[in-house]
Amino acid sequence: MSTTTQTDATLHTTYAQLAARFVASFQPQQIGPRTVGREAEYPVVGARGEAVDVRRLWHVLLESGDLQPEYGPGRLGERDFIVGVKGEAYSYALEVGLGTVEINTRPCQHLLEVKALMEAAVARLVHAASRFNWRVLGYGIQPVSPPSLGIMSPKQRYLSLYRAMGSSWLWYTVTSSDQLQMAIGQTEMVHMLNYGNMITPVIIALCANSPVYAGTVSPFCSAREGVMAEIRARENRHGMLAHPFGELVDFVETVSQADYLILRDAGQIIPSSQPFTHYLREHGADFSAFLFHEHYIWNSARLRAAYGTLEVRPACQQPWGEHMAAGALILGLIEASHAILAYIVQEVGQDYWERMRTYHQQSIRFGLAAPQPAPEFLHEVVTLAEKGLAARHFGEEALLAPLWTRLERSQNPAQRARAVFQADGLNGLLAHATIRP
Amino acid sequence: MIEAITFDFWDTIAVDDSDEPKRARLGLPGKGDARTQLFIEHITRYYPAIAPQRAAEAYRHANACFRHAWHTEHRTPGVRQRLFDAYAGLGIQSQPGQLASLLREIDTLSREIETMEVRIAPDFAPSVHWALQALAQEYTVGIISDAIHTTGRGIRHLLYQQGLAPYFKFMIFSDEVGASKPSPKVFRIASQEIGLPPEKIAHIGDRESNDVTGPLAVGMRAVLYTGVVDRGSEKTRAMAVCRHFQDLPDIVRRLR
Repeated sequence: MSTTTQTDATLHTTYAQLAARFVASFQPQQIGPRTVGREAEYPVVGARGEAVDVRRLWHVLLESGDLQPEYGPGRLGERDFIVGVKGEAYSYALEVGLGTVEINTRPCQHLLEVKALMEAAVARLVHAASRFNWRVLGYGIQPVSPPSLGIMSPKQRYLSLYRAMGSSWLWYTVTSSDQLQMAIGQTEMVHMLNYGNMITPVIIALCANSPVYAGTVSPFCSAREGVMAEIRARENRHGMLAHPFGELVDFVETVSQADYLILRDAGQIIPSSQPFTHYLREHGADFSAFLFHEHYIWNSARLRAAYGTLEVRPACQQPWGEHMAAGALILGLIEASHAILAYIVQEVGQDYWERMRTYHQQSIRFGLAAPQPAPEFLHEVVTLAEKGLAARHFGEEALLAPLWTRLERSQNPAQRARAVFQADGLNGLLAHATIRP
Repeated sequence: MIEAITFDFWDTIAVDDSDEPKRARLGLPGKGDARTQLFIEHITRYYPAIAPQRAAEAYRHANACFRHAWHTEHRTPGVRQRLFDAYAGLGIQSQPGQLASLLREIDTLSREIETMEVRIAPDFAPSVHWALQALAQEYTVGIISDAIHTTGRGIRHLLYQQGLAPYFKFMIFSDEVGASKPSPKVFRIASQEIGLPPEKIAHIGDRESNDVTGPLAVGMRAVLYTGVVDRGSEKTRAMAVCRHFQDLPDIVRRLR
């Protein structure tokens, strides 16, 4: 069923049109301190560590009256399905897994504001969960329940993704990441997209926190990233980009080569599994379809046209006492991007991209025990990130304190969680990861 | 010592085509005929100019494409790909701006066929519940199965329906991983998913080429299961033959 109503030359024009629309979604220039927002996912589990159905929490969270239910399409024909509850400062959303809640903050001026909002939101969540004797975990994956259809949220698009991807999609039923959104300007989009991906192994080395899942120790510090790397690996849909982009149109072209997993038509979401280029040939520069497609390309750093932000995704959810550590590291890395990139080129060499890809694979597996690409590499990068945060003049650099401890002990949260599990078993791990605000 | 066990599905956990007599009793056509019939009805409804015979021929052509991919390339494209091939055989292309509608149309038909495949559950092998319950207490248990007409999703559905799904830590289906048995790829994926070297994994299945030769080639152990159908246990290279699932825990314990 190959159709060629548009020639490849026309397709290149289409890429250029989409790239122009994409760029226009961002502010022309980033002026002043970047605003930030956090998307933090939390596993919610029962007494034995099994995933629960967090939809039972909605009515408890709605009791205070300051949050509103959000409805979305469930299974075909269902339109009254509550997918989350929303307030002015933060919202709760049902994730792919029924046992995972995502908390999103509004855009904030600085990380201390994010911290305050997140602590208020998590305290409410923990309180609501306690009514059912459930625990909320500061951990990056469901520790006991394996990925399965039985714990997948029955949203129409998730069901369609399952039809498009099969069991690979089910992996998302268990993962819990800690993501940061940062405002960026048009002039830095390509730089930030490349750099945000290139710096991924630093974030994983310091912030991995998913070594135990399905009740057993995995070979990874970040099982989240380790397993994701294998999903549709030939399309390089996850993790660090295969190579940096020269300009935004390269990004659009590369993204368009990947399969269009699901598409919208006549109010339904349909599994497609045809390359997105097929769609572009038929439909031309359909920008909303491009955004819908691009939403399901999960590289470690993504440009988000809807918000005009860079989204950085590879951190696992952090232990509660250090819950801002990943966010602080990511923002510091971004603020110091030019200094850090210059350092990496100088110390790691001109083939730094390939060497960082190797470090990426090793950091997923070994965390802070992975060989660093240059002597004292992480120490130097975190120092530069700290300077980047300090230059914002909000005092956010104090939030990096847990990272210095991790470096000093050569132990990231995953390495600590693994040691706890090996010494004290599952109950020990659950006690260690349970959030007690 | 064996630490993990993988099972084939058809003619090992469930009895292949055992739903056919049930379908016949209900006056339903056999699944092969039902697939073709669904395709013909769909095509003639959407494209009245296409004659039923031509539609049937296109579906046969798609089946031939599938068999080629399965037997020579060791991969089993899913139902939707088969429908794309059949559509291509009929020369049906989307009109400009209508690809999404065409994909929706194909998806609707693919859902109908997939649902038909699992509407009536097959019989499950005698004592399989008991064996899985016993083995899951001692070993990591998974599935490695080809998905020919029933998709991986469909098999997963049957396992949930039967209450067997919780025993399996992982399920590897050929339509989802892009390779089918005896390709070493599927067995290596299992080894990676479990995090164990192949020699610590035993595979149980009914076919010599897929379930014995395939796993042995990557260093796994192999047990031929003949409880549903014996396809030639007298010549097998398997380390053991299991005729009844009641014997399986002891057989696995004795494997080295």
